[in-house]
Amino acid sequence: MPDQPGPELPSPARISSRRHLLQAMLAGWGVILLAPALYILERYLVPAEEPDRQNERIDAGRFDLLPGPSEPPKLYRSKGKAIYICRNGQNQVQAISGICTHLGCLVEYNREHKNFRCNCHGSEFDLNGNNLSGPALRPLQPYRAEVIHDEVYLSPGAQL
Amino acid sequence: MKNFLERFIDSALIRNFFDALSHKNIPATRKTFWYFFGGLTLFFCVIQGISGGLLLIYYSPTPQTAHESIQSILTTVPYGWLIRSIHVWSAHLLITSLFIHFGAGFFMSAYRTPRESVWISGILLLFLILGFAFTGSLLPWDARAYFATQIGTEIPRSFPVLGPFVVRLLRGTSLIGAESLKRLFALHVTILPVISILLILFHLIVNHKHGPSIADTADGRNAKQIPFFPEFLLRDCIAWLTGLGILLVLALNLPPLVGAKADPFVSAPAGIKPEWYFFPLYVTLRMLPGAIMGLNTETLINILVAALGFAFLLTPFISHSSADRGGISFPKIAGAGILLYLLGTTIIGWILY
Repeated sequence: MPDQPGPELPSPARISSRRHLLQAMLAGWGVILLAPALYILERYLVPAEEPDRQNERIDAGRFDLLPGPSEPPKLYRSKGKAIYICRNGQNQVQAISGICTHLGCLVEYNREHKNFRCNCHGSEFDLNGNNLSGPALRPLQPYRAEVIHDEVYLSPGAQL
Repeated sequence: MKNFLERFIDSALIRNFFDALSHKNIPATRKTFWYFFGGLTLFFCVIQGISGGLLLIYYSPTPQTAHESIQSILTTVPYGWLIRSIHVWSAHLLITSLFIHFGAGFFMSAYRTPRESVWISGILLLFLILGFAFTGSLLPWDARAYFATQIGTEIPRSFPVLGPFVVRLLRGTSLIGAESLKRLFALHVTILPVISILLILFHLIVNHKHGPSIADTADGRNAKQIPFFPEFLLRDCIAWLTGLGILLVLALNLPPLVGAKADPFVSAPAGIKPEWYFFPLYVTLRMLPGAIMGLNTETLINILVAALGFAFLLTPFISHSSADRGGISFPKIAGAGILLYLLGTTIIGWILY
């Protein structure tokens, strides 16, 4: 039996353009599917904005209970804040943050040298929070104090 | 008449598997010693999977209970101390073996065509394993873990553009706390293991497909070859038994303790240090001033570490194969410099601080 001519095949150029169209449609479908999934994932994983407590006023207790200039400062602790607080020579409140400005460890009061030292990478600060040595660039954050009816209130001072 | 076991061993599935393995050849040269560290690394990965799964039964990932649950694993759970000791020591040995495997591959130019996919998956696995080490280090919730995590999640902040986003994503809140512990725990026990298992499989399959790297020296080209199965695998078993021996001696004699419970309001204790494999980063952070030529040092370190990671990922494309014929080439000189820096800072971290 002689060979029957088969159905005519589309030209290679036509196949190629059809393939490109299908590939583009597949890619488009992928993007349509993936984009909302990525958006949902991003929204799910990124934590909600927290209320800014940076400028909140803090009640740090009674003035007469604060340590004097020759004593080690008291560490006031509250959510997210660690503040060294004491009375200075002029009987005024002196308050500075204990969070190291390098990578955020809590600095330690050194009784011997009467300064603050961060044990993580060795930064040192004087009692006013000024840098003495080590990799920290900025001084410790100072706090402004108000004394109202013998009660001490702190609010963050301007970063030097 | 064959019994069930014989028929099973004779089946096409098993036959094909071992046929494939016996057709793979490993060069038997002076450098063959270094070929065992891949298998050894895999062996410690398996140990980590098993011991980690066992610890997961008693560990409880909240700031209130994490430290107590580790204490309880160490003191009241029968052999809990041993399982944890194995998990901790196996982590040290895994990273040691992985570094040797990576260094051997690098200095023997195992990244050359057609093995690019093997090399890239290997580098990604190196990052993942360091990710395991970092996320695992917070889980005991002791003072060292707490500050290591504080610092580790603070460093990316100075990375240009993406930094603050990465920090928030890792911590879950602005401060290290319950949210951070849960996130790093989820990474450590599900996300990283799933990605790692897939990547390890890929690494093994492409390595099998492209065959072992043969050191391109007179010694290597005419080297005698031995079949992977059973000859090389039996030698691998000796390496695994040696690794197991070292692991058990360490785990039985030096069970690691857990420090005081983490307290966000207690100053970082004096003498606090990260694990040894982070010493290069730690020493660099301590040694350098806060700013270099007006640029924040952490930003510089971030960019440098990222650039180094990319350089290693792209080594197969940076390096010219013609320059890699056994002799000295740019990647080798740069690699030797990096190796010297890593070793030097690790020794400094050990001794000086």
